[in-house]
Amino acid sequence: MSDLVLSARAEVAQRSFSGGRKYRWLPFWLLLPSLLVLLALQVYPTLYSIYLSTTRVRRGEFMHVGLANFERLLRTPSFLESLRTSLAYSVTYVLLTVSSGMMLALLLNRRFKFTGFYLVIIFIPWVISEVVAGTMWRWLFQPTYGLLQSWINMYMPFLGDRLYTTAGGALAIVVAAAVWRGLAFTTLLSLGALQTVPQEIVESASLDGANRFQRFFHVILPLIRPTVLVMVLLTSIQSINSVGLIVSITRGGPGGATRTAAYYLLQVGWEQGDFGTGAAISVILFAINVTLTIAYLSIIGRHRDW
Amino acid sequence: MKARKTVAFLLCLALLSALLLGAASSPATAQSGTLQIWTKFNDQNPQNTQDKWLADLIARYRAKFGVQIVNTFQPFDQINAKLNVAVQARGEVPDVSYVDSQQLGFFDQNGVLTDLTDWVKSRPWFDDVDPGALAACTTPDGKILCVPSHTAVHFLYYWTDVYPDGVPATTDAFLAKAAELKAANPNAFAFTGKLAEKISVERFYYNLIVSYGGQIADEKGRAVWANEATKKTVEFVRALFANGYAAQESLAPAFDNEQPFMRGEAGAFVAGSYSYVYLTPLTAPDGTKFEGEITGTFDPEALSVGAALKAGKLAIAPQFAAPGGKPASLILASAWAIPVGAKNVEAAKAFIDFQMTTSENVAYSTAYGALPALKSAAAADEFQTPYWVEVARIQREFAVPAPTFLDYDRGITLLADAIVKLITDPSLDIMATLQAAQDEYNAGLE
Repeated sequence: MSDLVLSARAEVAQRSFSGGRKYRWLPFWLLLPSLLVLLALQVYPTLYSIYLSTTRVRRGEFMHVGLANFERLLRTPSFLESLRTSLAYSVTYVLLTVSSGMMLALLLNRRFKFTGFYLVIIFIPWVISEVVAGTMWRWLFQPTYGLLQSWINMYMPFLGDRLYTTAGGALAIVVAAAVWRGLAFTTLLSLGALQTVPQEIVESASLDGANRFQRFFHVILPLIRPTVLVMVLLTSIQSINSVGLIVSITRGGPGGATRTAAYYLLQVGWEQGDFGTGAAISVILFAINVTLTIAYLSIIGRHRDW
Repeated sequence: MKARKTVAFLLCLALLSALLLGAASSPATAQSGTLQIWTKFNDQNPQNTQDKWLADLIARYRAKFGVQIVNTFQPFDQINAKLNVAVQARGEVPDVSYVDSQQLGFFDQNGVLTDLTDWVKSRPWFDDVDPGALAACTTPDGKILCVPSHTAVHFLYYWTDVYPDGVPATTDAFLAKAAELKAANPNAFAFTGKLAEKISVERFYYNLIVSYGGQIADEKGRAVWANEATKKTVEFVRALFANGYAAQESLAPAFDNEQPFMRGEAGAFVAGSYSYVYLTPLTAPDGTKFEGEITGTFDPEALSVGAALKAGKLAIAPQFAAPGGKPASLILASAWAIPVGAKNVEAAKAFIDFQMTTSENVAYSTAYGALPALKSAAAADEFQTPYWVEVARIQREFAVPAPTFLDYDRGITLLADAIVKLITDPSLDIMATLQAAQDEYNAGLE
């Protein structure tokens, strides 16, 4: 077939999809249902939250207060403390979940016996509801009869006999529970990524004398870096918005020691019924999430050749 | 291609119709012969006497008036806030709702409840309402926003094996006795109770602060808890924990704090007159078991607390007070209210009228574990048992009204958190921490 004929056919096909006035609106009509759902369930609530964050309620009437809610929040010690707690919680959670998930995936990638069984075991916490998982962890560290607390009392007394009711101990328990639950997600993602690494490259590195650590840090990690970044992004957002486990384990206590910004939002907006301030907190959290997303995506975009 | 366009258009149309139909057929839409109520009781899956009472009430009401009550079960610590959210959001609000009287300032500020002043004053039961209970539903400017059903006070339940001569009346004497008990049995605790989260202020801290001569809110609704009375209260509670006199569960979330008392490991337990409902089963310090069961009303023979009281193993007493001070016991009223935006106001008023008959007031109050708001109901036989006579005495002699916070939940949450921080970190300066929390609350009112 001559080039001329091929070129003419391509032009016709092109016109039938994107050209011509007749079909100009077709993509719009096809996208419209999804757009409507997106507008109703995502865009409208987001915009309404932004509007609410500039209001306060007095005697049933909404009053416009501009940015006063934000200004007040940034001067409120308990909110700033909740941001610090969020930071501590998120950094620890992301580091532990991603690194432990990667280590488990490296083990499972070696394809020893019963790998499928181990995967199921690791996956169980992910399918348990946050409330059930949280209650279980709460009971494990219950001061008098908690199983893990009893072991700590016997074998690791230096950790303290009242982990659950101390500020640091309670935060450690919440992070441990979150890592235990989130491990399945990072393990599976890491395992998927590891299985895309060509074995011949790893073997070549071995033949060149690279040891285990060099192979991982200089060969495998650069190859799976986009997946790792996506994992870090998703676990970061997850930890910033996390509330369920905290509610069921500590309810933000003792004395606000495990009250993250997301839990603070729940308390202010829901329990105390302060819509304006609650919406302002949600806008701040939204901005943090968007900033993180843009930062990670730009890193991924910058190294598209990976 | 035209067919595809038509299909796309029809899909959009179907989606829009589904959305509109979904919105129009909301389950809470008012129907004639139906009364929507919100309570913190679960009639669908009764777990305690209160739930069972509501299930019975719904059946009785339908049989008597032909009106179907549809109850929406709300968590006890969220019902007031959720009602506020429903009204503010112009959403589906119930015709009648359970409300806690201590939230009156918050409801008033947010315009959540219908003003019932004229209607309440015109009712035949008006003169029969206990003035203290009615005051709990009345705003400082005289508006009656709710109708009280019953009142609850706070005090100590204690094991008589541990405190044969009663619980010491003052904090100093209590610490001395606690030291004795610890020396005799290092694994036992002198005390347990809810000492963390906002409820701890209602059950314990506020009463102690008042007994020390202090207050936590002024008449303008501002926080004033950074004072000597609160400081002394914190010092006392720090001593309880530092010496192991109080069970660690007291600082745990939810209701783990009840367990050491229910297992007989803690000698005294601070709670409300309603708490006996949940204290089942009970084991006395000497191992005697009191297995309770859920009944329709408070039956002293059936429930664990009733059985333990009858056996002389359990008793109640006012909370210990400051040396030389008088015990204080926060009085809270449970009430019915009609939210702004209720669709079925006349049916709501008829329901409240029915609730304010003597027999119904007795039934609700016994199931809840509180003293009836109607004087005629309080005189009923059910409230002449030793337990209720003692509760009535504590209410009569030691009741103190709720703190007048303009933003009630935020106020008690900040105070509770500040005190818990001071307990868990003894190096913190008491007055500086209290002052910081107080400033934060007051700044939020501006």
